[in-house]
Amino acid sequence: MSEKQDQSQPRPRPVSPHFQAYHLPLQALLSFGHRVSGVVLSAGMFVIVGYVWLAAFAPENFALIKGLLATPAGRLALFLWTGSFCYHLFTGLRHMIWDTGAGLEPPFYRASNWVILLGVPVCTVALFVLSGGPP
Amino acid sequence: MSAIRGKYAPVRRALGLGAAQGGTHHWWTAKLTAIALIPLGLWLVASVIHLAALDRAGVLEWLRQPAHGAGLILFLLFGFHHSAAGLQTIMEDYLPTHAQKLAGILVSTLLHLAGAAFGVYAVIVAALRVV
Repeated sequence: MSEKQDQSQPRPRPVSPHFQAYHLPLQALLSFGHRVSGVVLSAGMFVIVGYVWLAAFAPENFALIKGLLATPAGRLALFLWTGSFCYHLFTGLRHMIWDTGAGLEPPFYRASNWVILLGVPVCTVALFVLSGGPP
Repeated sequence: MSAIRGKYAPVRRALGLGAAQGGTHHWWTAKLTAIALIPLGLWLVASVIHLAALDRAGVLEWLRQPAHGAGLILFLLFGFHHSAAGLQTIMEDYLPTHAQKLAGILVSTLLHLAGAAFGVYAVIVAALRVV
């Protein structure tokens, strides 16, 4: 290997480690999930508008969306949407705590990881049971 | 403003590089709407699960309650604002080029404004509908 740099060629730029070389701890995965659940809820906003729009202007088509909601796929979608809301709520609250500069130490984020992982299913099922919906 | 922009070299200013100086407002409104959406969202999700089992007459009867109609409009305004702010952040982070960021944020913002307008209008009309 020559110690002398070849000045005619541009020096190779430093390369950052490949994506797989990074360690992805649980709190990083949960934080990414905050974005994923946010996108699901964004889509849900437009579904809600469509639902109210049909109720207001298309009585004959309203039975269609009600029928869709009653199918197993429709119930599952409603359940996953509710779960996305609870997830986004729990991780969002933690991000707000982090925004203040507090809770950045390992004991807090390790404990709150479990609050999220256990709290989200409880929140989701509780919302369904309290609202009298099909679980 | 000129004092803030003054810290960039002239060429960077000419190219339009550097911060847009609007980040604080974006961050702040995202947090503000997030706080409002804690009670509003919990109420809305519970209501949607409840309404999913009802037919159109039941949904309209529910919407006719003043607190329900006004609450839904409030949810749509805060919800669409928060959704637009969140999607903008995601696109700023993941879309590779400046042109793609600009186009994505433009389309998303317009869709969200339209969604809010159509939604609020539909709530008002539905609440005033005679079944």
